[in-house]
Amino acid sequence: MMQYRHGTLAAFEQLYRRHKNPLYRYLLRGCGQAETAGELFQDVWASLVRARSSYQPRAKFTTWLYTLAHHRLIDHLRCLPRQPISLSVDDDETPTPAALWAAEHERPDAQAVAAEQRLNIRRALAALPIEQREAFLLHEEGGLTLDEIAVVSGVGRETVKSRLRYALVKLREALADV
Amino acid sequence: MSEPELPDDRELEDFLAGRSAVSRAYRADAEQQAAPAALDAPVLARAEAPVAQARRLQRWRLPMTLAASVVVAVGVLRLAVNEPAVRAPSMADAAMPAHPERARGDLAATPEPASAEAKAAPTAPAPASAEVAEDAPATLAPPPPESPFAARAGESRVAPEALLDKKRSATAAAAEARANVAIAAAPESEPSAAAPATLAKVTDGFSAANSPAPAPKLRSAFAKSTEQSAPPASVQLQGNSADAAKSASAPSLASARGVIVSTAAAVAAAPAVIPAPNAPGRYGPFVLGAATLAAVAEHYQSEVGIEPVVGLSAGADGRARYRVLEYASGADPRGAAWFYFDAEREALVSVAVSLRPALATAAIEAQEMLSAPMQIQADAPAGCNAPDRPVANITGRYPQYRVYSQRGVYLLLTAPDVVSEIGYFPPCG
Repeated sequence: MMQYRHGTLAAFEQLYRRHKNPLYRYLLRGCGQAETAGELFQDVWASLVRARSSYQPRAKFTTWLYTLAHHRLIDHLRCLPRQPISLSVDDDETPTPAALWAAEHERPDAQAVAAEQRLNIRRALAALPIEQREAFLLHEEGGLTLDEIAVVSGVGRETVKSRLRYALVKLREALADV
Repeated sequence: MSEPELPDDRELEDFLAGRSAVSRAYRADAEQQAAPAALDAPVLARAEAPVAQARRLQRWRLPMTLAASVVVAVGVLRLAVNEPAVRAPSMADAAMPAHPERARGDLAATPEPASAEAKAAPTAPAPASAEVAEDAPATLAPPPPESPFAARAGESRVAPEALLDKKRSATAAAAEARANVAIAAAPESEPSAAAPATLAKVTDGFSAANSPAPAPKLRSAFAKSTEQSAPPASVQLQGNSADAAKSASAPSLASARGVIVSTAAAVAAAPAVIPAPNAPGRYGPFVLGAATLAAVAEHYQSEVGIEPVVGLSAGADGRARYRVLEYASGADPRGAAWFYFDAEREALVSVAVSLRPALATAAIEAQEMLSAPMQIQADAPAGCNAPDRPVANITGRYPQYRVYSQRGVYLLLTAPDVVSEIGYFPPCG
């Protein structure tokens, strides 16, 4: 990021390639809509570009990036009326089963179980409260630790642990139903 | 219905470490979902825009800086050209930290109080110490390099031995200081460097005697000049070995290998500073030892218009007899002049000028362009052949004399620093 701050576009491209997919998924799982996620995704990177001149490496770049994303996502959700997150996009993106000669876990029966698990996970994740969902996504997509999640979310470390515990319970139940 | 059990710390740690089934299931699903490629272009374009703008600014920074500097410089120059009243002081202040003439004026202003003080008190007592006497010329106008003042100033710096004989030099220093004060106090006198030339014109050949009223005028000018402008004699001189040997028994400062005698410090030790040939004295156009009675008489009769009084004079011991031409008036504006000729060869062997009135030693030394005496003696025969000289029999009248053998000149003093007679002689031997 410091290189990009000093005018090296290649450094930004490297950062973008490294973080674009996890960030996009974080936003997609957070808002539930691919089109909105795309807009938020661009907004987050635009914020990063605007804030490049004031960037100070006081923490991990990932923490800073997901802080921007968290603020943008929260702003978006606050503007929406309370409604359950749609899963239409996720349902449409169910992967096609592999060929018969695939590995055991890719065999049709195994893939059917896995697909059902992923669907249940998505549903369970979408059903989580935004705080728990965010904590879970920040760890899974951003790779943030408890402390970093606490920093990004603006809450205490124990609060994050509690949110994660509740999220894990619900997601574990969703997997057990398969 | 029971409440689901919350995962303990170990299960939470497994989740945080990516080892839980939930994590594996989520990553398996997430890995198949990437950001749409359509988002890359706008994001990268947005990221590139400020970088490209910065590059453009960077590319134009140097030319723009130079252009701005040129614009400012041109503006300032135009202002300076159109505003001369502003330009002059600013340029002067910036380029000339100190105006040279003003600086010279400041420097020159330093001695002015001393000069003014000297004018106000021309007869102020001379400083008693040699140090003060040596400092006095420094407050006056600097002398030309060839002036005896220059040698004197140099001597005061290069002759630390002078301090050893401070007692002996105090009298001479006081005399010099008085002479310097007289120079500074002379309101109408010319610069000190011009005084010797003026006096030389008066004394060399007495050519001014041909003018309608030469004698009173010249005498007045001479008296005025010598009284008012009396620069001190220079102080460095290498002695003649013969003279020094002859004067070794006397309370002289000479030595066999040569001496440096200072009128200010009386002693200096810088041999061969000034060569001292035992040259013949010159009186006007006449060279002592070479001019003849006929030539001298012809000169004064035809060119000056003075009839000499011719007589005979005997030597000190009665052995020598001299033909004497006395030009009591008009020949020398300073006083009466006697020309002594060898009785046999009729060669000019001595000229004595009896000064009326007596003059200061420094004035005579400046007039005759003398540097420093080889001998300063009292009540002792003078010169290499003193017994045979006409002046040898007058030591009773002149208790002190100074010998300038390098110029063939004796100064006979009736009192310290009072010269009553000048003698010109041929070389010894």
